[in-house]
Amino acid sequence: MDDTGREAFRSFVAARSTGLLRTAYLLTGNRSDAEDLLQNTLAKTFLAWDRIRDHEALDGYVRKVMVNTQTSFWRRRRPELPYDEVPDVGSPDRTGESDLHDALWQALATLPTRQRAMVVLRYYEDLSEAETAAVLGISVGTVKSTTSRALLKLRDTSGLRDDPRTALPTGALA
Amino acid sequence: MSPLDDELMTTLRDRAASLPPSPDPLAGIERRAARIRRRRLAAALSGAALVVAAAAVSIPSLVSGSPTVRLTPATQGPTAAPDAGQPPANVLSTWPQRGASARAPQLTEVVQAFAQAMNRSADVADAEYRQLFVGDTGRGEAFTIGQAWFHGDVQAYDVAYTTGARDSRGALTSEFFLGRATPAHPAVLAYVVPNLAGMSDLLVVVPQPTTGQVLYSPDASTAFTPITGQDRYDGVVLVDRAVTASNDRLELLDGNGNQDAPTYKGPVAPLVCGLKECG
Repeated sequence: MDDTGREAFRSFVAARSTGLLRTAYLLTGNRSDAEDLLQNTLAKTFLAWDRIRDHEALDGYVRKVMVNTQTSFWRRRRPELPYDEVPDVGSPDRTGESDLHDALWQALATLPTRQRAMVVLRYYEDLSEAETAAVLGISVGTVKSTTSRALLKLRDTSGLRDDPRTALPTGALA
Repeated sequence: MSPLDDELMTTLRDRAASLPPSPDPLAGIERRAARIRRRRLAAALSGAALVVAAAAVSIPSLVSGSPTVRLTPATQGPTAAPDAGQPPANVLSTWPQRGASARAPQLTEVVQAFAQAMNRSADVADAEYRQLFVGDTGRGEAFTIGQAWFHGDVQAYDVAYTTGARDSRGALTSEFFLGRATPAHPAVLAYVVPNLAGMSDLLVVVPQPTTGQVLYSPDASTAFTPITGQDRYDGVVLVDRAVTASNDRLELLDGNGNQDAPTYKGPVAPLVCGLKECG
């Protein structure tokens, strides 16, 4: 990579690393693994930098690298660190909302890696089912069914099955 | 949008926002990229790279008086092994050498274990090993599967070797598995890496290079299910065996997915014994 490419890469990292770290954090559940995942993702992007022609589409490329790195077999075999404890963010009392979100966060840790990735792509990255399918290299139907199962498991694992705030969307798997 | 959708989005957004930024995300990226590049090269050129590495390992052994070890390169050729003679006809020389691991077992150990298992330790200088797959679990255990034979013999054998596992007292152990003489044109080599720390046994399936879909069943009464892409590595399939698995079965389809004529359908051929039982 020449100096111009290096500089462009540095600019990209400076602009996007915080956002990417956040996505990595949601995919892994703890800061240490998130930083490791981000570093691996950026290293792979660095290697491919000269071959990426459409730098406008970089975000999509990097997201795909990150998710595939996280869901790859070898990474899944690593012993998983526990999910980070819920931080005290000093937010005002939101009448039980905090407990609900803590329960959902902990439940997220129980999902298989690919289900968790699907939830993050759909509900944090706000990707459509088709975009999620493209990132993961699977069919839209698989995204639909797997996401439904993930939501069901999240609701059940969080102990909030009967809580009206966790009602499932119409048509979800029962 | 359902209530759960809304709550989930809020949860994820809040958790992500609570994370302070990384102090220096660029630090070490080029070093890490170089490591990844080396690993990719090792996977793509695993044959040559692993042979070079093994040869480097064997030199000090020779100097210290340990037995000579011959190692077969990925592509057979007179310049690569001029004194090795012709390998047995059942050596899978057209199969690629797949996988990569920084913790790869030393191939010299495999050769020595093979000679010992065959009760021919005195002939170890004539023993050869061709690695077909090497990998690790990410938890310290590494494994290799391939073929071993003695120079001048007519048969090569399926063998596997696991290293880095810890026994009940916490000591590092290695285990050698000696299988059948490799049949002519096998569709698959497979073995179970047992006793991994904190996880179930691992079934390693190394299919012939043109294989397409691989299906697995843990026992005779369970239907075959396809192994998905995430569990495949260079075409090699790795299955976390359920603790209840028995009589594992495989079905392999050709690259065209022809379900009417699987290239293999049957039990996982067991590698017959560990070193203790064979030696």
